[in-house]
Amino acid sequence: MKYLFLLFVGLTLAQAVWAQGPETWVQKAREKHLAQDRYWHLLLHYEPSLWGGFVSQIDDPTFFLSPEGKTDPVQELEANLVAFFRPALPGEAQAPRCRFIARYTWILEQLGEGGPEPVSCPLFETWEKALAAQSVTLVFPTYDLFAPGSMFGHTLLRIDSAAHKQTPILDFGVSYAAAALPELENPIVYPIYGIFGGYRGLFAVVPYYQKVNEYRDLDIRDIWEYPLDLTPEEVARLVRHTWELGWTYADYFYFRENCSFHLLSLIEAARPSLRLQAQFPLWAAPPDTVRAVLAAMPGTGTPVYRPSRYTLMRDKLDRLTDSQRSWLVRLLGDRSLAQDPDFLALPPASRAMLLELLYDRILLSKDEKAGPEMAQLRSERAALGYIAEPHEPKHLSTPGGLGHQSSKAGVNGGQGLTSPSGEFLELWARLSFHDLLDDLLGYPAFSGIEFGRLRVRQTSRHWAVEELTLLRVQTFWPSDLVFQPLAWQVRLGWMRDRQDCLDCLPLALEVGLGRAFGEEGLMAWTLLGGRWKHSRFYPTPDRLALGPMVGLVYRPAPHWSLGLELAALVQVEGSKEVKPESQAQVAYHLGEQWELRLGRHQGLGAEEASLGISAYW
Amino acid sequence: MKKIGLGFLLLGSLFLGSNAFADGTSGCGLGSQVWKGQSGLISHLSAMTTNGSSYSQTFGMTSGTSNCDVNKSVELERQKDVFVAQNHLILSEEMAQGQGEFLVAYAAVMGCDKASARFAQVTMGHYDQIFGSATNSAQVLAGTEAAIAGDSELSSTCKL
Repeated sequence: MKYLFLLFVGLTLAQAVWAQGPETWVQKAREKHLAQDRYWHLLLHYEPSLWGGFVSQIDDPTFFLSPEGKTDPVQELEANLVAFFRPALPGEAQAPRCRFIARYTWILEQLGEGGPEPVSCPLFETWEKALAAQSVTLVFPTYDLFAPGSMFGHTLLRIDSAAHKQTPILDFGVSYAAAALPELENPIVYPIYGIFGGYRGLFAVVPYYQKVNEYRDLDIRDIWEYPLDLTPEEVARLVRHTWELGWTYADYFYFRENCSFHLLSLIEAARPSLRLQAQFPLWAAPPDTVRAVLAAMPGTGTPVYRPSRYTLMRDKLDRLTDSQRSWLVRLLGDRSLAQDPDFLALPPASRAMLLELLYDRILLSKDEKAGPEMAQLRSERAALGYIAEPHEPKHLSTPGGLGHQSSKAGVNGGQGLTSPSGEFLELWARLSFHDLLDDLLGYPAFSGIEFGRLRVRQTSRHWAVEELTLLRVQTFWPSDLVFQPLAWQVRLGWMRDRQDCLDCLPLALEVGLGRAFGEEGLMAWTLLGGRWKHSRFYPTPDRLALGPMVGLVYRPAPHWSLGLELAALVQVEGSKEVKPESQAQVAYHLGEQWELRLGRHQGLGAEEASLGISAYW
Repeated sequence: MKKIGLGFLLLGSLFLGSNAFADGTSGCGLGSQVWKGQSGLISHLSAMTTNGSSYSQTFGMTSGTSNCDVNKSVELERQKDVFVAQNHLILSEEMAQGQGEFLVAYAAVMGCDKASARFAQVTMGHYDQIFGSATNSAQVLAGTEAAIAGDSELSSTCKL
């Protein structure tokens, strides 16, 4: 009741102070059709609705000043025009024209005369001064080694100030991410909420060093930074719109309305001539959004590389001499050897490198109990008084956003090597993202992830589905002396079976866990795992087979890749017979668009060879 | 229906332990926090990203809505405090190695941006006094200030 009264008093006061009122502005705005202007739609995040009209991507009701604002650009504009004439009401931290400073600035530019008396916006001004924005950098933390949810990478913006040219980690990052609710962190609810918009996504402005800490050390991801070519006025527009979004939320949708998608709106607010979000009607994979930005802004600078701890560790390991390597093996077995006179007799450079590698091992394996050992290692390292020469590490990733598009489609011609399957023609398509034989540029070397892969086959008589893969993940980060990450693969989908039934299409789940070895040019993995499959055409509907799975990928030259996978799975029910399976493939890439692939496949009752051509799109 | 459930179970297990959705941060209040001795270092690092967040916390950091901007000198002290508290793990490592981006940034925060190479040398030499037994950011800052004061080049160059 009290607030209603205050509201009434406030409104009456406002009426009295701005006697001329907003009528002139409203009239002008109608004449100029401002509510239909693209920039108004950009600032309010309107999209054409499926049912006609418009709907805003923002779900927070306080983002709109009209009760109809989420779906009505005209009413929202007029409500804004009116509200810009009043001061902050009791209980409001700032006046509407400060809270929505980007809208207000734009409307002022469009309508000019007849607006409200100028006021200052101390909250915004303090914040804007703290950012001291001079330029903006698009940041792409690459693919997360351990978290498939982050396997597509991530994007954020960094607001760069002139004062931090030498120390960019002191600048601020702008990101959009779902706010995790602790009570909802269980494996069933998490992805459902994530995919269907159950989480609130928040825009956060945080020190960039937090992000670097998080990605480089905690998630072990390389970071690529792309300095955007924006004018000072464009930077100022981006900052003002960031202010508007910082107070609000939009429901988070993993596939489309995700971190990368919403950042695009900030870039469009900076330079409205760009059409970025519209390129992603269904899903927005972070590297694809980077690609879209790079294509739209040709003046973007050379990407800056920020290696992860893993990359730095691998680089140190590569530079070890034989005797240093044997010391490392001994030290990993017995830490007390660091006090051994022979070790203490090594040159400081050698000891420094070895102590640092011991330290990397603890951090990479996230050994929680190693705190005292870490403190000891740091102290010993500092006591050496040795500062290494600056060294550019060998890159373990290429800039995301370069290289092939992530959707792919193709045609295969093939031949069954044993009767009765004969010749066949196949059409196939994949929604997203990358498999281990795809061209490497811009993608992770040690992992493949595919979403939505459909392959249909025409045999002599008819077309039939040969494979429908919902999800396939292969993560084969190589083990070395210092760090032995888990290598694993998962595949879920329907695949044609001619072995345990006449010709059926069971749902199948394959899982394998183990270790991988090697490097980018030649990598191999050995896993133990199994396949569960389900079809009503089996004697018993569920079939389980277990056994080893091994494979390798060889990349002898740019654009060439060879893959070999073998499995020997033992049927758990019935015969206990071992059924060997194999797949050999050679891929050759013609530019960034085309691929030729030759394959030989044996398993699930088939033995066949095929040649295909496919395109990324 | 069962199959769909299975799909989600699978997807769910993949997302477990990921930071795909969790991206909270600690706000201004973290500065004066004591970190949990030497044993909880890694959990401290990860705690940074697993806190639940609300926009008043994440956004208030720079928007002046939390008590981060009382006045300029208090703000400067706070900035140092927050920087050390949030980065102490990587900072202690880089200080022990005598180089690194966080160390250069720390030099800048301490007003030594004109002499960051010297800053690296001196703090490495005083590593044990600065980080040896420190359990909070105030001790690290005091140790660093003492090291700066004890070096004629730094004490004349740095704007503390």
